[in-house]
Amino acid sequence: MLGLKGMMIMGAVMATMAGGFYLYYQDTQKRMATLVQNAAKLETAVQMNEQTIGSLQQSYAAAQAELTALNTEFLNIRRQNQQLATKLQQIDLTAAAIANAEGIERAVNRGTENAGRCFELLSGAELTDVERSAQNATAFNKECPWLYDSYKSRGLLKPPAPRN
Amino acid sequence: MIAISLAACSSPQPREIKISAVPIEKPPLTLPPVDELNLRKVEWIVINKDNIDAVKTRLESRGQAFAFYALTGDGYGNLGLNFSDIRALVQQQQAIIVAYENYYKESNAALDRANSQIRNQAAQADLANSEAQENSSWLRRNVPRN
Repeated sequence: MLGLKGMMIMGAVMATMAGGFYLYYQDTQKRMATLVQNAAKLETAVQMNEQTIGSLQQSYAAAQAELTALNTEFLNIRRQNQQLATKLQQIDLTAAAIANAEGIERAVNRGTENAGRCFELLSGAELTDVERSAQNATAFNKECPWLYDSYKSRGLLKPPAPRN
Repeated sequence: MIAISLAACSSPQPREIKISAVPIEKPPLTLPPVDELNLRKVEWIVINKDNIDAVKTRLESRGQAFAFYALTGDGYGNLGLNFSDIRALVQQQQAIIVAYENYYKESNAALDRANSQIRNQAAQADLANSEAQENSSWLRRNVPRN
């Protein structure tokens, strides 16, 4: 027979155990909540890292595309620069000056004016009416005819007159 | 049982991870345009042994002295080639500036997209966290908090 004293002791033990279990449960739930939060945050961090990697890959691809475009542009510029050298190889300037001084004088002055105008245009100078109305690259400027296409593509030239 | 429960309670709580992801706002780069060139007129006079007198007469009629800084045919050709090289260099520099500009714009657009996605993900994570907190324990729903 346990008696009243024994029952009270048992009750106290059971109450202590129940309290212990409650505290244990509370603590476990708190840990679980923190761990769930951590898992969510880590998942977010992983996604952010993936975004960053994706962004870096995009930047790298963009840089590569720009480099390719730039190399093509440089190739064109070198080709354009070669044109004068090729032209000069075909002309004997000394012989031309002896044979036709007046003619070559006009040509070199026109060429110098055109070449200077190329620098002005490259610096962003406004087009003259003659340049704006040019119907082809040679009429635009014989020293830098390639600028014609650039201005045309930007819609800065007058459209060609309609043919009757 | 009590000993086990108490031992479990005594272990350290898991550390809460804090992630900081603040988008970086880049200040816009505004640069002034280059000065426009307005080149001065340069006049070439071609002289040979046959026209030297005619040139002299022409200059005197204009009141100009008969004195020259002269170039040979080859020298003139080289001068032209040098100018052509400088023009090509200017064009190359311009192409590089355009490439930088394109890359800068593209990078800004990519950064804006990434920042927007990060903000969305952070909002989703906050929502998931609050839901996790709410659902973590039925006791939390039923037992009033301190």
